[in-house]
Amino acid sequence: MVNLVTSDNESFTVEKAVASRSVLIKNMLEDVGESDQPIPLPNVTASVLKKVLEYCDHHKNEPMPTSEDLAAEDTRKRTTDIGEWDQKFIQVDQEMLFEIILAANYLDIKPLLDVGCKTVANMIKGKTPEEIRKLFNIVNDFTPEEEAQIKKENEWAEDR
Amino acid sequence: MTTIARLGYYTNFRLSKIAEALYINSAVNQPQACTTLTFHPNSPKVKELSRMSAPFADSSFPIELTLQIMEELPFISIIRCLSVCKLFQSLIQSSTTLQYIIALGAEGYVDCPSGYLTVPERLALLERHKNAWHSLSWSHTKKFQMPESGRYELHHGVFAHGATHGITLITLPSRVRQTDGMTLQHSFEFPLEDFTICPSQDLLVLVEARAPRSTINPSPPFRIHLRTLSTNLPHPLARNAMLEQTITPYVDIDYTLRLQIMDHAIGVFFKANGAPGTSPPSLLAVWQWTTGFIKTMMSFTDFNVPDAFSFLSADVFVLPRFLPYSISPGKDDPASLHPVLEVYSMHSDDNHPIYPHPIRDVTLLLPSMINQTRFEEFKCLSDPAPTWLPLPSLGGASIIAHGYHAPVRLVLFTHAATLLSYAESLPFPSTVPWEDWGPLKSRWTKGPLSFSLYECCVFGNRFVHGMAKRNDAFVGWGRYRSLRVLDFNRYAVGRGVSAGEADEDEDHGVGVGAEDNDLFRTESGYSDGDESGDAGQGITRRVHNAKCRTITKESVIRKGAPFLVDAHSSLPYREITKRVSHPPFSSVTVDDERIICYASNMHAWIHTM
Repeated sequence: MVNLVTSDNESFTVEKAVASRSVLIKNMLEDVGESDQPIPLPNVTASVLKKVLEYCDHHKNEPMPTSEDLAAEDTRKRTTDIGEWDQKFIQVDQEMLFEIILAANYLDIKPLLDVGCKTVANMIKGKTPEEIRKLFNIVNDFTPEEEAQIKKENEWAEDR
Repeated sequence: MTTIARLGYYTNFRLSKIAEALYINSAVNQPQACTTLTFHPNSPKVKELSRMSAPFADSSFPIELTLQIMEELPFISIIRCLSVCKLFQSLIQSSTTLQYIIALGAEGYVDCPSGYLTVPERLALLERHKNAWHSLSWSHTKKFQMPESGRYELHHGVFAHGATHGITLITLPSRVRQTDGMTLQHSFEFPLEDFTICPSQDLLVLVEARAPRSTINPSPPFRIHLRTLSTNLPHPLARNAMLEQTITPYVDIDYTLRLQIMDHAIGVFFKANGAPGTSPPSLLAVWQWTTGFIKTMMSFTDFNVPDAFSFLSADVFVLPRFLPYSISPGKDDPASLHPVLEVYSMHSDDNHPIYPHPIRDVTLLLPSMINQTRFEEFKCLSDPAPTWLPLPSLGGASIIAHGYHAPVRLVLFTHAATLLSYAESLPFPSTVPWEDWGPLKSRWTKGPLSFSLYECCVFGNRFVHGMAKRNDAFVGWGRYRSLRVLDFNRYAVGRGVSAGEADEDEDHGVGVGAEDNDLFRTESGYSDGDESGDAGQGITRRVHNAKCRTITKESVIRKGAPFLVDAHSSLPYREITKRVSHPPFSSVTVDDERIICYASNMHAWIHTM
């Protein structure tokens, strides 16, 4: 078993197979060898880690992606969809979604990062710039003239 | 109230939710709400909240993650993100990968796994490829001596020449595909009637000439052999390497064959060349070539035999036909004729009857015509342009061209995707009047001199044919001195508009013949598209010796032959014409990387983009 400690000082005890879905933790475990020392995760809060571990637990028996898979992935990833379980798993509020992405990036859990990024991409698809700003509460920092110019340059891509 | 709005504006998602709630509740004056209002955007507490919820347009969100998200987007969405905020704009503009996705999408291509080229190299290659097609500025021209006789085809960089007992396959050198030239020769143990190839599936389809009738075999079949292009051996993916098709009753007569491959579907149209009234039936058969299942069988008696068929997808095809008089909308008017496009779905493997007749999904009416119109040809052309490395064309985005011969040569263009969308969205069988689809989603233009095989050619969104000067006779070994390319890729059109090529003048009610570049017949004979005249529509630009214009406005073919009514159409396109520097030619083929011009003395010029 592995003991993980979050930024808000909560500790989680999980199977090694679950924790090792994170390449960061897996490498740490390999470096320190057998040890009961808790592993500090200063960038992850308890609520996010709980969610991330739920993902790791569900996927613990799957083979880890090899380096060849990762190399081939660049061209393949755009065509692969999100699995059914993952889709349900990632139905969280927007704040948690971005936290999961950040945690997956920090903990180096490539498949989870992919699921997160694809989910955000799916939220953006088909939306207008104004809708995208509204969805993510992004400030429009263009002047009206600048915005009109960009619109004009990209008119060709819009439906006639 | 304004304060609340500003607060939401400045801060992150979570805070804006609070602000929203406040906005609603402020009417009832809740005290807790007021305390939240005291937050100033620059106060430390708000900053902390902002970092916590990490909106991804915020600088606190790692750039590489924002990029990774954007790389999952279709190109249209990436373009929309450009105008969301300055951070997004600068990220997209500085990312080669995102620029590559946009460039691919704009050309109607999709990327395929290919290990050899980096993204910047692909982008550079694509830019060059795009610019070359934009103004027909091919990078080089190679003269080529064709084999003496036989049939020839060009598919995705493979030039195939078939003789009676063998075939020569020349893989043309390609910068886009990073391949060198290569020649293969295969010989066959049977006489060849016709063939087609599909390099992306390594598929060679050979139709064996029908054996003569004998007492042992009173009704010999056509045999269709499925082999690999690379080895001439039976294709390993084909369960049966030979398909047989008998046409009954057997009549010793010539058949004109039309073969088309679309993914796993192979269609063969056996068109009987018999005299009307005595001809045996013509037959359209479609197989799933991997399993040998028959997807469709459709036979035609000698009345109302279509000139051709075209796949729209591996399960859907289109037939150009005439509505039978009895069900025509103008049956009270015997002087009218009703050409239509019939879109059919085929059976899938799982559950097909013995005689799998296709289902007619939708009938799209074309403008009614004067019954005296003499149709030399009414056919359709399409090239689905299946995927290929590393710049494959997008399947389904191809155009369908329909040729009309008399008294003017007209071609109707529409996107295959348009026809497919009607087939998918309407309850079957539906009939769509011309006014409901044609004016907006198609374009009539004057056609090439002839609509026969090789005189004009479709690849993906491009239609290519040869042009002659008004007074050019058939000189030497061909009469065409110029190439005309019509590009129906809407993004190519959009770029043309940005380049200032679009039509701006007001009057676009062009009558027949007003498009001077087009080829049409006049009373005195052929008037073969005058190259020198100025355009009736659009602003013509010269780029690298090519004349380019973009036509976006509606055009009208005035009522009178062949139409009973004014035919409006407005599908935008870009037209590029260029005079070739080699001797006149008589026919042309095209793929995604080159145009080949052929002269009848078997000289050919390969213009590679």
